[in-house]
Amino acid sequence: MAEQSVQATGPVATATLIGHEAAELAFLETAAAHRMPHAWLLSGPRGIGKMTLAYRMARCLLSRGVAGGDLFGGPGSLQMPPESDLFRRILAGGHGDLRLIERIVNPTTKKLRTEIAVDQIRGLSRFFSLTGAEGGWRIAIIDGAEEMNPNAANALLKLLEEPPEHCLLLLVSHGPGRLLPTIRSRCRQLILRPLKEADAIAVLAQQLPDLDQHECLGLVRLAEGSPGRAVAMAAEGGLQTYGELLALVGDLPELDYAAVHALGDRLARANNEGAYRVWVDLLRLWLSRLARGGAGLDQMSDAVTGEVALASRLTMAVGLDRWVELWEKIGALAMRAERVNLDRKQVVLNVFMALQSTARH
Amino acid sequence: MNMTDQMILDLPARKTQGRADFLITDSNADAVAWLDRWPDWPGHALCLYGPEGSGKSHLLHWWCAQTNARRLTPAQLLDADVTELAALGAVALDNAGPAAGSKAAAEPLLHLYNLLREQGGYLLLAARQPPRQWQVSLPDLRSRLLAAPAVGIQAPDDRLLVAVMAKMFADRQVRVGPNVLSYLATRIERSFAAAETAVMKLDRTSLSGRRPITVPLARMAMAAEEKND
Amino acid sequence: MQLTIERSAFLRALGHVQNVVERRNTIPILSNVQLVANEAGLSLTATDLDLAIVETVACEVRRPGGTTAPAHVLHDIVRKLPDGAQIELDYGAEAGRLVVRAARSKFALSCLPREDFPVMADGDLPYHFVLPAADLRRLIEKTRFAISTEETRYYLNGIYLHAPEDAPVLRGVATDGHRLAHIEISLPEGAGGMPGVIMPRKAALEVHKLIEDGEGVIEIALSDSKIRFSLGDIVLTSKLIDGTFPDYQRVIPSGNDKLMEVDCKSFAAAVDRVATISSEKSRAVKLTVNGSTVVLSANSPEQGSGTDEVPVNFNGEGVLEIGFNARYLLDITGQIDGENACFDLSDGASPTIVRDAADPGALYVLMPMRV
Repeated sequence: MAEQSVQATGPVATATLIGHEAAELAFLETAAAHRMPHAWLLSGPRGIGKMTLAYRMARCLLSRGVAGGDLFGGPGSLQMPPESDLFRRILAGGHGDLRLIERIVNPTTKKLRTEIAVDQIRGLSRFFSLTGAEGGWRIAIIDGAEEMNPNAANALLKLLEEPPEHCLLLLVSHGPGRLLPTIRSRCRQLILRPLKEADAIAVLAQQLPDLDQHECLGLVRLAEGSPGRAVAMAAEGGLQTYGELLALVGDLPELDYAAVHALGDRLARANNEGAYRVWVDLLRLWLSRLARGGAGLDQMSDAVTGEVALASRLTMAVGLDRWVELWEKIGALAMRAERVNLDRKQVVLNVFMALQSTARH
Repeated sequence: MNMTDQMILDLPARKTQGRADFLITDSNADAVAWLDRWPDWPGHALCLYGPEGSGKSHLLHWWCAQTNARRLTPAQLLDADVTELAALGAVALDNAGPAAGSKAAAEPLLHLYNLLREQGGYLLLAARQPPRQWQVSLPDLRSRLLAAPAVGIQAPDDRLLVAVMAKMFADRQVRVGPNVLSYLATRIERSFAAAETAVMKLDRTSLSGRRPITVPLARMAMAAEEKND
Repeated sequence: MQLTIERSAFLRALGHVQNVVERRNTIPILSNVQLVANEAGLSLTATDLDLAIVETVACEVRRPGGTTAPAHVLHDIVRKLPDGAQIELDYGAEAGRLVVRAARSKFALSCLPREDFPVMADGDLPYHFVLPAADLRRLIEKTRFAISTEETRYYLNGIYLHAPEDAPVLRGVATDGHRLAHIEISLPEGAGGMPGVIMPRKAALEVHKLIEDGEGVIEIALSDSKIRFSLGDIVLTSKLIDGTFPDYQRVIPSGNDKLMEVDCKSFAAAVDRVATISSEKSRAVKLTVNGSTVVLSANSPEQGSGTDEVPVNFNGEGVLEIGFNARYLLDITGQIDGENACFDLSDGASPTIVRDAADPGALYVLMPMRV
């Protein structure tokens, strides 16, 4: 019988986590020693598994009860079978002792709010002032904690000051620098790093089993150790777009203006706003990879064939500072274009002229 | 200025007193360490001294719970049967300074001291001043008191004040943010007593006006207090 | 799952459980009602994660089983079906859908799996007792007005239900710090020694709604983290407030010896009239008790002043002046069933006790205002 759970993807649906063994061990040791802090802050770049880890921590505690008890999956593991009742209830949002706070859709404007509002954190305060539904821990996950507005952050501080017993806050953030220092200092911090290439490939292969090996490697390199980003790029056709971009700039300072115009026309079409954004992001990514690779900051490997060779040619010809400057300039241009609704084709043409002029120096 | 004219029911705050709730910083670490060491004391008596509201009472309470000690005021000492008290094995006396100095209480105190020593019991004395400043006229008592180790609790530092007020609010089951706590800590006199007053005042202002506890409310409550003084 | 159920019984049950389902729900499973058919009949469960209602309805079950379907939609459909209709529910014939059939109507509703539905674990509820529904209704009705709605003091956001050591009663107490309601009913067998629990406002109001006519009995089962009410075929389980209720006994004065007895209706009417004048913010009304009358007066710098007078029996000497929030006075007089309200007064700055001459189990404490 084909009953579908509503949300079948994303971290809440992900049973396994690769590449964060040390962080998991730190959590397990804390749990085993009954020294659970009131709050954890899981930080690190987007798409590397922070929320997946948060859900694993939550499932672990919710399955054990407050007295501890045996860990499922044996010691040293947060693994829980996805077919278990608890996993399913959490997946459906139907666990009375777990709350997720994230930006929500404004009911009047129907748009996703730009921040986490104070009423959401107040709701959390109510949640913590009632006894548990299933008799164990009460846990709240705040996804995008840096997106709390000042009132929300202050309301959260009240909870962090003297939290009730057996209540746990899991703050997840890719911009922990934007959190109030007083919030950071009240959390036990777990800093998650981008995944090693092999780990990232393993995660990506798990999530997109139909991907061929070559594509998988390209995406992982482009996403710089973030399987989440790699998945998003795969959905947007990012690797192909990146290849096309590199083909266009491959002969810099020479440019095939007919091809540039064709690209501009395509991205300017009414229904192509998404493709345009992807393209701008990838262009900036290329420049930043070029600059970091050229500066020897990163050991650069080809995301698409010829990338490293092109980067070394361009950074030998023109000083690194000029490329960094260009990266900034294009970022500013893209932002301005967004604000004043500049013609997208015009933006594309401007970008290529800037590229050419930088490469000519 | 009164925010509202509605008077409030004087509902007592929940109080939890235990060693786990006692906050340790530099200002009280010595005293806590001494009590933690019990019964490994060099003698059978210990004096604990510090200004009003520095947390003596809380520590005494905790120690009595640990040791099943009887806790007495000087007046209770006068009424008590000292032999029976000594048989308990551990006794704590509040306001020990004035007790030792008073004509009526000095004798029973000396008696209690001696009996406890003979029977291997323990005596904890709490006072605002160290024993050498007590006006003890009974020479035997005076020499014994001076021989007992005396450990001081200092007026709380900022960090401790903030922590203590956080606990006081938590005892009242109200949640406040650190901005309110640091606002109060920098504006009150450095004592637990002042902290307690400020917390109570703010709690009552909030209850009376049905308003959440915020910095503006704290400002208002403090201003009202100054005016009343 | 396949069964036939009588429309009115189904509608009644759906009406009860869908009450707790919030209209705007971002989590789809919480918009659903769980339907489980077995030898006991059809049981319907709805929850908002803080409380859950389960109701069992007799029906003809042909194939046991269960699923979850959108609560409000199902309720609306059943409501619009003709009275007396026999409704067939079939889950399993169409993949992932609940088929609802009655006469010529047919609906197929999208379902979510039963396994995803929240669990309100009632675990071990060591204390249970049975009491008349009318008693519990009275206890809730007469305390609910005093429950604090202010979230800063979450531990006051409910009714403190407990069996005190000093009297063989079950007592409900609610306070918002300005007034307090204290209602006693006779102690049901088995309730002695139960832990004091703070029943959240929402649970109290839902149970009150379910009691309806107030006939029959209710079984209460509780632990220190859960409370369960069983009313016939309906079971409501709720979380409790995780806090300590203050030692309220300390604010009930014992030495108030100035007693004023007044006809409750005419007193309330006079308070209401005079309060028309008092400024919206404070709504203060001053009572001046002197011999055989109480003079009520209100002043507002903007609107002027007003007075009214009601005869009283007063045992005190001289004149007593005391101010109260008019709203609070009306709230309390609204709880009084008897003809007379009795005020135990001390002075203008002390708590006042209000009693119902006809109900010795009811007591209210009210703090004055400065006037």
